[in-house]
Amino acid sequence: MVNAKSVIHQVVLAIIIAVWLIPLYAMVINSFKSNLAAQTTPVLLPSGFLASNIVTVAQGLVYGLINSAIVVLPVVAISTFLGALAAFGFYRLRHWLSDFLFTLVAIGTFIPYEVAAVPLVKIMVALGLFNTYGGLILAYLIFFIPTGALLMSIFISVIPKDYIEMAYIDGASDFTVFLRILLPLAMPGVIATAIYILIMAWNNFFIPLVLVESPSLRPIALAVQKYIGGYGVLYNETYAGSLIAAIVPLVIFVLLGRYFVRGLLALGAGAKG
Amino acid sequence: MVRVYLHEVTKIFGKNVVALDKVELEVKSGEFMVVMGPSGHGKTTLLRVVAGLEEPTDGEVWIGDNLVASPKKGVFVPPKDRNVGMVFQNWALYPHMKVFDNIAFPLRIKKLPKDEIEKKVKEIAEVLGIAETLDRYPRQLSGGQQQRVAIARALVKEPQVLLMDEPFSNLDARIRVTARAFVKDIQRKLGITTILVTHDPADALTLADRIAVLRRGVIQQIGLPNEIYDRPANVFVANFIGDINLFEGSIVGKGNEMYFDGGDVKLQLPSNIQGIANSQNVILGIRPEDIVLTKEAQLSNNDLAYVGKGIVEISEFAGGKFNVMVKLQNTEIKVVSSTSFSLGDAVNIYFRTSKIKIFDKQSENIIYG
Repeated sequence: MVNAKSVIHQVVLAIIIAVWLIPLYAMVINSFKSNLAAQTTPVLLPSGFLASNIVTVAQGLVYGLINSAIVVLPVVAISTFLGALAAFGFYRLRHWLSDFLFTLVAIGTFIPYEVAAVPLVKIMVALGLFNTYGGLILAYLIFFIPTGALLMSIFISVIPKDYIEMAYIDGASDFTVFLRILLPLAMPGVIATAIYILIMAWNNFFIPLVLVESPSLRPIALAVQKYIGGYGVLYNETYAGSLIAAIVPLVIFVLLGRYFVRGLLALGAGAKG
Repeated sequence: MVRVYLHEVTKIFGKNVVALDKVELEVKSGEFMVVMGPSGHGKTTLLRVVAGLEEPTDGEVWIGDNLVASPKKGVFVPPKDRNVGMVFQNWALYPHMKVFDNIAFPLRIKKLPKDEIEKKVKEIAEVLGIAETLDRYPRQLSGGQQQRVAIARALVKEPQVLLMDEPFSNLDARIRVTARAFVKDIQRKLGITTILVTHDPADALTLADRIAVLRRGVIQQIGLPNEIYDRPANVFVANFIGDINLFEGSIVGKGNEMYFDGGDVKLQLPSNIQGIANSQNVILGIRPEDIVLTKEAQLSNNDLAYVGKGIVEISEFAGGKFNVMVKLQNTEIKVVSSTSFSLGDAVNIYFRTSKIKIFDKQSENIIYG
């Protein structure tokens, strides 16, 4: 019985993996087809190998990758750190007000970007940050600091309280406890949160869409869409563009995925203890 | 060294969970106070109130001449400013730091110069016999070593008060004895005012200068270990600090001729007994080691009161002594004996009258003992 169960388990996993990987696979093989082949051959069958697509598209999109890096890296660092700090604040201040604020943060995380688009643009214009890197970073922070706080709250809540209390008795201030005890102990969670925010911010399309006008400031997600628009529909290059846009989050996840999983495991272990 | 003084300290969790109820406790300067009680009866809360991890609901906490907590006067000194050392039940060694860094942590917070930190850490590690573990991580140490690291970390900053929460419960029985002797030795050497909480009478009796017994947040008795053991304030304390036989019954007779009648268990009480009256309902207590069994003819000894003839039901060797269970008609009596008996032996049972304790049945408080 145990065997049958594990076989079913494996089959289900395989199906789920296939469902997730098929679009990725289609993207990769179509990136290397000629434009004609992309339109005439079945989407799931490879046909030829044309590296020139990638080279052409990469030349056109490299500025998008740079823009994304300029905007996303500070966003990841700041929103993870401030999110963790906020989470520690919620942890420390056991008060109805902090519960209320935490609920607001949680709700804020679930509000779709579109709802906030008009006020967001107005604020950025008022601050003189419309159509700037700074404006983009600030807008991302508005959405991702609460995400960081929410995720870090979960990771902090499973750290045994004893370590933190012990540090206070050892004479540590709140900030020392945060930096020297909490952050190191929550490191798997910090990494998981950072990866999550990085991927969400990197793939975000809507915020730059409403906040950026100049083509030179477009991050990669927007650049891919505009690139396609500019040249008519070249299916092979569209796929190649998507591949380039996806490559950074993919590589990061492949390289750091085990930390992400370790973070989630830390949650399970903490919940048990 | 300083004294610690809790004055009418009450701690209520939520709306009506009373963890501490008007606790009045003075730990003298340099004293080793052991607070005993079953789990969930407020011991750890008491320790946390002294450490500053919990704010009392009412009352005052003094460390030396400093009032560190008083809700009425709006005083609350946070733990980091109380200069207390604490050893948690699970030791709470920072898992991401090596032993050296664990011990150095309180000193680094004080921003001591580097060479001084190194000197102090090495000194205390030497004293505690963990010098060779300094560059290891806590998870690489044995339980006994981890405990010593926790004690080293608590002591390195030269606290005014040392607090220990069930420090031996995570150790093997064999190490526990050594660890106790060790803690007692360190405490005596440093002369540091110490409060240790435990549910284990063995910890209390071996370590304490004085013992305080807590029940449902109320202090039942504070006294020297032998006082607590030989003259417990009530049935609860008597039962908690060690094994005891308890018999319900009533007093018969008056003046110099008083008897205890507990059905199966009947005996004459010492003639000097006071505070009891004819037909009073009482509980008589006698510890297993205060009962004498003989197979031979009756003994005559002023201190021994004859209770009856019983049958040996169980006799097990317990290292240098025997735990014997005797059945006196329908009553089972636990006895610790220096000689062994065979199952089914008929024995005469004597109680040491000087060790008899009599409690009021209603209040369960001690009347005589």
